[in-house]
Amino acid sequence: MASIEENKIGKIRGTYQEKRSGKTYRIARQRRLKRWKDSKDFFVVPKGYVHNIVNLSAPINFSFIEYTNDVLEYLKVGRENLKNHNAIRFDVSKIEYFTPEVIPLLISHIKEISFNNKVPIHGNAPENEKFRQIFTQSGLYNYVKSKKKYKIAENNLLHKEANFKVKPDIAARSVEMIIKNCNCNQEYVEPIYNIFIELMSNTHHHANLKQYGYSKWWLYVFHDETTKKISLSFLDLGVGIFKSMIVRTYLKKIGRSLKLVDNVGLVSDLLSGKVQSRIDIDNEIRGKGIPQIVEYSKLECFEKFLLITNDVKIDLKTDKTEKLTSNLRGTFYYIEFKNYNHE
Amino acid sequence: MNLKIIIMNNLEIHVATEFNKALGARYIYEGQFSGQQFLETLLSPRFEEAKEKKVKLVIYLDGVLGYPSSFVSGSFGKLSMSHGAESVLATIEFVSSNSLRIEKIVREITKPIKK
Repeated sequence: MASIEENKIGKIRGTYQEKRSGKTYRIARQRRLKRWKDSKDFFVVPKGYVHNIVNLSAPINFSFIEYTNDVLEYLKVGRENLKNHNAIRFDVSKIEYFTPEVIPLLISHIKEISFNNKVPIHGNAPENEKFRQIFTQSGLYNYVKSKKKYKIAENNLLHKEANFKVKPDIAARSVEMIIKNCNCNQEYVEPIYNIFIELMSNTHHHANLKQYGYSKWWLYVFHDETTKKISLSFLDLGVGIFKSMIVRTYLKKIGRSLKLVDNVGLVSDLLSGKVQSRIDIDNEIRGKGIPQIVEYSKLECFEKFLLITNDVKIDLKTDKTEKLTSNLRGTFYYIEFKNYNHE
Repeated sequence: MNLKIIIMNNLEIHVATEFNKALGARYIYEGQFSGQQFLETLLSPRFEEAKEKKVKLVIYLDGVLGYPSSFVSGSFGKLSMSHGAESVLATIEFVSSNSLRIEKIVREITKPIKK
């Protein structure tokens, strides 16, 4: 037995020695040594690459749907610091008011290379017990490095789609969760399901100007145990709807280039499907997704239905439009469902 | 004289059982169970067969979570564009407990183009 083992080892050693004596191996080794001696190898991290850690205290009212400009400004400051190779700390410890849709907004930015610039981002949790619980049970900690692992609340779902796909199974799971928790009538299953698919599909086509199907999307379904309300946040950090659309009317085109027509002026065209995306295939039959979302948004089962993209915030329930002072590089939908449990 | 009577049965598609309960978006590259996949694997071959045999194609729509616009447009809309709305509506019959579903698909077949 021993001699068989020795033979085997001898064979392996022989093959390795033969490989080492080969020309290709010798050249590669010489190059490796040269790189190491010159200290230009990739594993040598240049000193001062990360200048320092900047603590960024979150706005006291940390709500993206209610204090949109403040939250966007907060992200903007973070982006600028990261661009200058300053590591940042998202300090949310002192927040006094909080709505859960900021969780997918924060994590999506943290994970986005165009935002983080490959510079470390640190963070903490709110001191307020209720907010802390929402934070830890959201699933956010599954996407960051943390000493502690937290269990995700039963009726919460935080999903990142990195394969750039429309996921009918995720949509089905979310619809089931929503219907079960708000005790919705079954007639709303179809509109809610269709909305999910249209949101995912729009991301696939409109999020990136150079290549469709390139941007990631995030989905967060949150069930508030206290109010028993369920909300849905869906976002992508692409270019945003207004940046991805082509203005059809000649006058508006000129107006836009001269900055006489801003994005708010294009909202009605967007909602009625009169705008065209930059994707050039099947344009004559495409463009029905957003009008369908708008139509569904008026249904009774939705208490809130917001769309925030670029510098525009649209309340799809009331058609109220607001021009933002800061810009969201991407598209964000927020839907709050009516709770039928009390009826 | 012996008369041979051949009864031609209608063709059927049960979307929920033969395709999927959760339908996807428009194109195959967008993900699973897309309108394009439905068109290429089920709808178009059965439609051709029904036309050839001069029978109806009965499509059972129930048991599915929803019919997203992009799915309907990528399947029924595309079929209508390639064969004409009249021919499609003459061959296909829809069965559903939800009349809005049928209306939505018929609308897409009648007017597959946006404007």
